[in-house]
Amino acid sequence: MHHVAEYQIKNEHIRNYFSVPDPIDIIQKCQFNLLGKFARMDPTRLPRKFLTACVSHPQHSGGQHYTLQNSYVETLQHILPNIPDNGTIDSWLPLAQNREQWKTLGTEWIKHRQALTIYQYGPHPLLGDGILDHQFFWYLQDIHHRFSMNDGHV
Amino acid sequence: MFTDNATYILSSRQELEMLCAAIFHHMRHFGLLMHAGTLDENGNHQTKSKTEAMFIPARPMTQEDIDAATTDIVFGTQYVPFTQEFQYLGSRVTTDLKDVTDINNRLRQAKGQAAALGTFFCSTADTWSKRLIFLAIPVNTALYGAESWTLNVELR
Repeated sequence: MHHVAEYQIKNEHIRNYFSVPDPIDIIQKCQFNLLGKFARMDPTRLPRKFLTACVSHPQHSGGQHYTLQNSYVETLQHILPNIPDNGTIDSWLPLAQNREQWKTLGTEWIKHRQALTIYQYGPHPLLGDGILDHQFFWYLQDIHHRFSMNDGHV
Repeated sequence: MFTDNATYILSSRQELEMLCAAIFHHMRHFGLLMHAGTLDENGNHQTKSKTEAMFIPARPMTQEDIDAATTDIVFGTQYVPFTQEFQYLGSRVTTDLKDVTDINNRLRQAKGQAAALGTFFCSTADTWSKRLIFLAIPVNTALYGAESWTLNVELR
């Protein structure tokens, strides 16, 4: 494993080589899909009730600051633009009603994330291009365009 | 309740003590046996209990208070012990309600699978097949149930 340190091979290079997304991105996409399922459920079902439930009393001292709700809101903010910090349900629930559209949003987002990693890190000289999926070339072009248009921000 | 597994969420030890005996007798009418441990005549554990209780403190408590609150629930000659960690439908629940234990457990399983597949990964099979196997087995195992994980800074 001395090659890793010697040639400065990063996780991103390995993921680019094998065309595998970041595990955190996979988790966020799974959470996004699950939120869509909850949103399309009948309002009488328990998971949907949990989604819209509100705890009336204040948080105990010593309790967790970062909760599952925060995690879900962060996921929504990553994938959808214009989601407020409190993740108010009105801001994304109508969008989630269309299953196909919701699924496409998640899939496109993870492909963009993967393409962004390829753009930032590129192939490692020792490893080469690897088995990059050809569909990423479109995303790479798109990211390059946005990168140049937005003064270095994607 | 899921097939023959059941979880009850209660707000006090008194409720748990009342419910344990009630569930034990009620479930027998449906042919379901609650696997509580048995005590001998001296009050010592005779058989191990598969049914377990977990105490999740609402606010930080001293160890003495926790120990006092987590003594065995005894009803007749049966008992239900308390546990710090419980595996339910493949996911590990701990008293602090954090996901660290569950995630570490999943990662350990995935590492074991990746190690078992080492011969295949070092074989002459094409890279795309290796990628698909890697995603289908170790990655799927590691990320099973990841939808309900709270991804805080520590876990990332």
